[in-house]
Amino acid sequence: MKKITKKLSFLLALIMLVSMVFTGCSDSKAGDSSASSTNAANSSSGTADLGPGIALITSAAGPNDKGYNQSAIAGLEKAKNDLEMNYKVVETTDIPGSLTQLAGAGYKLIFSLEYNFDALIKGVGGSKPIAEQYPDTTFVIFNDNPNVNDDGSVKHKNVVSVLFDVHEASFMAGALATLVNENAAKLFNSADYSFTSGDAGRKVGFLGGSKSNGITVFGYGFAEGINYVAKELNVNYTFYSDYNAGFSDSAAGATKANTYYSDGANIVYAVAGAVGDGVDAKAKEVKKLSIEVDANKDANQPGNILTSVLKNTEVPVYEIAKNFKDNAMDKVNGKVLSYNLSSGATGITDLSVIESKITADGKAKWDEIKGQLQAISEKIASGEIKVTNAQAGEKFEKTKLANLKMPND
Amino acid sequence: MKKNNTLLKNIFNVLFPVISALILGGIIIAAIGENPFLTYSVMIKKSLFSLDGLLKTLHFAAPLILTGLAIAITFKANIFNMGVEGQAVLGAFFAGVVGFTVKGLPPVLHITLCVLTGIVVGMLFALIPALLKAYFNVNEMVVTLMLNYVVVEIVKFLSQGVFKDPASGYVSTYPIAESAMFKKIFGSNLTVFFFIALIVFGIMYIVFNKSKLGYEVKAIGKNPEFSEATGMNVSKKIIIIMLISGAISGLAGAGFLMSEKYRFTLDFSGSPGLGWDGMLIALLGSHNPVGILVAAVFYAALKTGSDYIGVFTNVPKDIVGVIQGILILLLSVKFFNEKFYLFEKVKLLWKKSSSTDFNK
Repeated sequence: MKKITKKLSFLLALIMLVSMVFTGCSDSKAGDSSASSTNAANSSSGTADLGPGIALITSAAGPNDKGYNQSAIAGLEKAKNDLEMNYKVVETTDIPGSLTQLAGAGYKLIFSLEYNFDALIKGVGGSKPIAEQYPDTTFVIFNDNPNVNDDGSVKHKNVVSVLFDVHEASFMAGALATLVNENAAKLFNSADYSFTSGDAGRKVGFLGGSKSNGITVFGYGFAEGINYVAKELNVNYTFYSDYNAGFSDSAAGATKANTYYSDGANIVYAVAGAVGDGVDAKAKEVKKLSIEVDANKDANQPGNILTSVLKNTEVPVYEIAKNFKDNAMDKVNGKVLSYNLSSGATGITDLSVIESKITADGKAKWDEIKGQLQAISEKIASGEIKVTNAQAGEKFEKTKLANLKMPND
Repeated sequence: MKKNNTLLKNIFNVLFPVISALILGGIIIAAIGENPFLTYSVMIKKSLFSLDGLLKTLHFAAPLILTGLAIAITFKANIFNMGVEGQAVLGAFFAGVVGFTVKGLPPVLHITLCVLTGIVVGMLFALIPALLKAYFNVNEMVVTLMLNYVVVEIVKFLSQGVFKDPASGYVSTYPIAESAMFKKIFGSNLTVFFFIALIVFGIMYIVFNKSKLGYEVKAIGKNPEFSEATGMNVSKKIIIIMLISGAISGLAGAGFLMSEKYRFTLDFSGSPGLGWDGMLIALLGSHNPVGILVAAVFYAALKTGSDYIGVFTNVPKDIVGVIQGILILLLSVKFFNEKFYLFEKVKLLWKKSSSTDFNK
């Protein structure tokens, strides 16, 4: 009896498996025909020089990172809806290979969100630079401008570099953090938060994913922002930093943030991808504040995320796509597109989420702080405040920050 | 007749896990509403049946052949060198350092120097667990495995510190000099490094099958005490085996850096790294050089194919990760079966239960 049930169940399992395979087949055939028909539709609707559409290569964080990559894809989605452009998102580890493939497949506008420009700009292993091999294709790269010769002239006419002035946005976050920290008792309900007050609480934490210019640019701007306000108020701050948090281990991020919080820091700023999630969760647990980065993540832990430093890739992606559609690539080709605070592509959030936690008594102070921030942002725009831009290779001198101690930078 | 049988069995052993993994992967592709046949045909056509793709596949197969061989030689001796990954990464890093610090050498000399650096560093790093194993009987699996993490931290420290390229926005060393790069042949992806890998493969084939050392490796793998009793200096042999493994790993890393990456970044070895891929390849190829060659090319085809999938279909490239995962699962079953005779035990149980049934 036992034997028969065993065999029966085996047979049943086999039938299920086979049926799954076959449904797979029938499904796939339908999928195939629809795929070819959409392909045909694509080629007939698009004009010849636009090619199959826009391609985008994500960075290692992948298309669902809730930030950098996802915003860029949101820009493409907007281009698709508004401009009727098709797009293709590619996730890869072989950036040069994929650039070649996409350009070879006829894509005329390719965004690459990952670093790794050697093969594109300089050419490696004796082969010509990819940008030179495909002169009709525009390559858009982010966060760096390697597209210059030694004498400063543009190397390839078909490469666009996109830079964000995140150092200024980080400066704003630093200023905000200090202003809030100084007035925390007035602004927030003491039952909901447990801030460390007085000199013991004049500490700020920073977690960076790696010790590279793309990350230190945030940390240095932040430090300068803190120092600026601390100097005005004539107080001294301590800046704890760790640039080895990586980009994925949120549990380790929570542990590190906790060491800062328990040492008295009230605000920890994480520029480390998914590590930030752990920091936010810890902030909620210890009833303090964190600062997020890339996209507007204020609502992830409402009330415990002070603000997010935006690096909104959606704006440049959409703008370039629009130029592409309008056949106006001359406007951007070979250029460095720099997005500053006034562009809306970078800056801090509108603070609406944290504002809901401000007590009635604190409203006047809060408006005052917002006014001060506005003044600071105007001073940055006018050049009165100069923020170090590590991304552009500027050197950071911490000895100049008289009101800020940086013990581990 | 018997030989024919074992050959068939070998082919079956390689093909069964591969085909099962592809079928299971196909079911998943169908489940997300894409066409598995189209996906696979894109993958195979582009990575094996177009000249460009084939050369690219061979290019990516080169380091995998080497790491596969590096693992096979130790596994065959029943020594578990789990540190191939670390040895490859460290070898690559220092080959890179020589690649950008030394300047003004003619290409042939510079490349030789870099490759030798990689080999020596790999050997030195493999020497630590080898000495511990040979003279203090410290478990080499633990030591080599743990040393991988040490390597990760060392190269991170060095590439964020002394060797950091200040112009770069992410963590990376300087790019190696033009003279240290393996040149791409006729504009394809293939470089001389692939032929170096083939030469090493040839040497290892002879070592495995025709040399005294190959015989000794087998003997130690079967029974080290007996080998010692017959007059083999097992400790010395273990050190030699580990050094060979380290040298090949270092070469794999150095070659990959000089033919593909050109500068050291933290994601240099990819995920899973060259060494871990090599382990899978060694298992797939049954620790046999020819098997490893075929498995490495197949595996590289999967890897390059995954990028083509991303470009030409709507299937996410992660599907290849799924296929690789299933492959690892099936191979580990096979591995356990060889070690512990799992199937025989199950058969026995089956027989027992059915016989008790009859008694009732």
